[in-house]
Amino acid sequence: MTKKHTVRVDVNGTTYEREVEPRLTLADFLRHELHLGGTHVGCEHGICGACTILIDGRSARSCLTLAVQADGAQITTVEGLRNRETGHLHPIQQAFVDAHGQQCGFCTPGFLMTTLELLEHNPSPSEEEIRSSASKAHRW
Amino acid sequence: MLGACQLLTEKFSRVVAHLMQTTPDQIELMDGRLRLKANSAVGMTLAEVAGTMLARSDLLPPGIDMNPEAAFVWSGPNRNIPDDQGRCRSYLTAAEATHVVMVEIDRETGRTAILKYCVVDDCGTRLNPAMVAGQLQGGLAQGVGAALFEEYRYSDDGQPLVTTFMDYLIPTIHEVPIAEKGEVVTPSPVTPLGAKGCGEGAIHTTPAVLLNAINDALAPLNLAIHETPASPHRIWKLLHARNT
Amino acid sequence: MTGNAEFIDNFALPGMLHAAILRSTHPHARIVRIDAAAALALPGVHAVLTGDDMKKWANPVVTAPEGWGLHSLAVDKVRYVGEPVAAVAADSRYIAEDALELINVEYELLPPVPNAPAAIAAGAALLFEERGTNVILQRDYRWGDIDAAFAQADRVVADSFRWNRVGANPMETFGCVCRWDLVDNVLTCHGAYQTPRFIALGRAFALNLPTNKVKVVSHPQGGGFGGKGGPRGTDIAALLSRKADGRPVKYIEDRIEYLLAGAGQSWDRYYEASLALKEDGTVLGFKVKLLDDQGASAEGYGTISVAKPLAAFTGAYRIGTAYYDLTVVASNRAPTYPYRGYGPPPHNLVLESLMDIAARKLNLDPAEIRRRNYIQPEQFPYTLPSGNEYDSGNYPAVLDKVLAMADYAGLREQQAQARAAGRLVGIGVASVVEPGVFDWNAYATVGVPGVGVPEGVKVAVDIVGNVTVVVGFNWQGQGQYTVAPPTPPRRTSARAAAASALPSPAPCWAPANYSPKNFPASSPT
Repeated sequence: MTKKHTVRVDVNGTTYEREVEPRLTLADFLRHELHLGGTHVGCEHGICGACTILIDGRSARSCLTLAVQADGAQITTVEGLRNRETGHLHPIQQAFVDAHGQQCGFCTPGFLMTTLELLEHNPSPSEEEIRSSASKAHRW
Repeated sequence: MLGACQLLTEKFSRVVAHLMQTTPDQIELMDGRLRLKANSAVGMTLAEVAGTMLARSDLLPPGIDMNPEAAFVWSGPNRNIPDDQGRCRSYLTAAEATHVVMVEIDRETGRTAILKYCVVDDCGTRLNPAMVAGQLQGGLAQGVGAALFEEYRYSDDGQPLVTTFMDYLIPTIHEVPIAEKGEVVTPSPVTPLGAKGCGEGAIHTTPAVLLNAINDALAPLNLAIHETPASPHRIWKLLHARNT
Repeated sequence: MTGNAEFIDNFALPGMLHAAILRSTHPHARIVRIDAAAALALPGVHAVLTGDDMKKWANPVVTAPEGWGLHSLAVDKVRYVGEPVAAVAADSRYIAEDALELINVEYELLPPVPNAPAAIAAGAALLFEERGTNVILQRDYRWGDIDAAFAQADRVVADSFRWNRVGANPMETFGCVCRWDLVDNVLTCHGAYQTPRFIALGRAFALNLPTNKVKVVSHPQGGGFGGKGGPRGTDIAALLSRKADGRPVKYIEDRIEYLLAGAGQSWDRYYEASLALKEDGTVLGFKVKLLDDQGASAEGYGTISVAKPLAAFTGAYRIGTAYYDLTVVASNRAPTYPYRGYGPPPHNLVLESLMDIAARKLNLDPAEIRRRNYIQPEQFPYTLPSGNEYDSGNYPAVLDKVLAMADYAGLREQQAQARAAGRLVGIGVASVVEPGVFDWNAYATVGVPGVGVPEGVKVAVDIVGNVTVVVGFNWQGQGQYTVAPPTPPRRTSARAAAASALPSPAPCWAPANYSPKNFPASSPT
């Protein structure tokens, strides 16, 4: 039986501490240990981008990250976008809604997180910069 | 949906007519109430009718089905069975579209860049134009994939060679143009609202128009490709086999 | 948008186990022996399923035509790489996959049939020995005097086309949670089901359950596009639940499984086709010969894919006679499943390519050759040689509008300049008809019975006046619910019609999950 490791993370402002196997992916950790099911798994090999979250402000594929690698980090997922007190959507979420920016919504959280990263580092991106950031698999 | 609403309105009208001691043709549905045509102040809301049906069976017309709901299955007119050559009136509506594209093939890489993409489609009455545009783009994207990138390959002894997204190439925002779109509307005489199906449209057309454009580009070299996907590798091999 | 949609992998039931599937690494082989003792002994493993269980408890799936279906887990023989051979239910997917590594399968290899030409070659190995052939279906259709048309033609253009396998690949793969209630002998399946009623009936037949003891609850899907069939995963999860004392079992197909052997492969085709034309570009006849590879079984109803082109066989054109020679075969590739379009896209590529080849031969502009052949507005309703009737249309108007929008003359000038500079620039035009609103009769000649357009809806009002609309499909992201708008009614004919029928607060839309008692008749899609 593999030895478990302690992982302590801040996710969307809440601190969690869990014992996990080293092979547990961050995606599975978020979804099934912390019950934050908004981050979805589309390919489990880092290409489709649906599982994208922010680790310490930088986008990462949670399917290719092990939970143990996130020990001590500050993570942002789609659940952290909506305002907790008022319940209002984050401006990025509202913008997607207004522009009909989703169909089934499965990969939408991945797009939202990369958009969040892009706009936090570059408030006025060019069309080319937006396209680079949004380069993910999408079936519509 | 219209059919079910119609049936439900008829059922409710029977109930209200019975309660008001008149006939159903004297009742009309307007602004959420079933009311007397002759005196619009006299009437019942939908909620009141539903409540009466479920709670006061003593007041209902004899033999009526008490459930305040209706189910309806729509079918088209003139249905028939196929003859021995498969001939029959099958699909009810025919949407149509013409796509026009301009592409450029890179001689060094065999990659096809889409320089312009225009679509005019006719899917009859457009019940929700934003949905039509979304479906068109989605079909277009899958059409680009099928025409240029996507393929499941097997070896000569039956082993699959495509098992990850590194082999099965789904187009991204870089490969899929946003088409310039226009519309013509010839409503369908067959469907109640004149709408036609349109959810699959572009994937019917995009591969054809892209291969046509690619072959138009290759025509001066007397080359042609009739295999999909017309991937960079296939086009490159075609170009370089001729040493052009 | 907020991450709250209940996609199937976000759903859990108390006591739920997780399934993993061991898959064949050979395209064609007999299964000699499976030794799963070590897997069953692994802590955290609660059940192991093999072909012996399938033989006892299950039937091959129903296909059209009949007799080309397989069990959802291989029995005695494997016929494609990726075919399920054994399955495990465990406390976690991680443990289940560990258990797979402990299962030993002994195979006796058989000669593979790697593609469609190999399937019909002399001496080919047989996938279904009892059928005596790899040909699932072979027939032709003759509409009008095709030989006369070709004899009278000024020109004939002919070519071969190869459409390689492609497939849906929705961003969410298939998933389900199945629970076999051992007391009442009722199976409940939650899942990413595109066709709940169809799946429920199929499971009843495959798993020997009365049809009113199978309940399917359809969850919002992360896309479908036809390529999310689900019968195999469901049967496997259901039987694992049966073996694991009725505990719910979740199976989430991963992407590699989907690509290898999920419902994501479609349209594996070899075409030979030709057009007969007059010198002025008018098309007199269209001939198509198709060799279509269904893969290792007909379970995905791919015969429908080869029949649907009949609905728009001659496209947007007044072609008076046509011929369709069809051979559908089985091979040691993954079984094919439906994909958006359900068959016509490759056919349309063939017709539109031939139009361009003809244009080039006759020195006609591709837009012009189409214009000369269009069905004219006054000819609707128009009956095709293949029998279907188009309801309405104005193809010349569509062409005029798109050529103007594209500035077609300007594009040709740009192309001329680019060519002078040695660049490979091309312009394409294609006109295609998309048939909509299908009738079952479209598929009768390939073995699927029925006549009628089966789209059903139920509308209900409750005692506080709220309206619920129950439909036969679930959300895939196409926004169908916007067709029933909230009040106030808008001033368009479509919305006013729907809204004036029953003005009320916004109707609540509910997909009808398949419970025999309350399901309105509905098409599978």
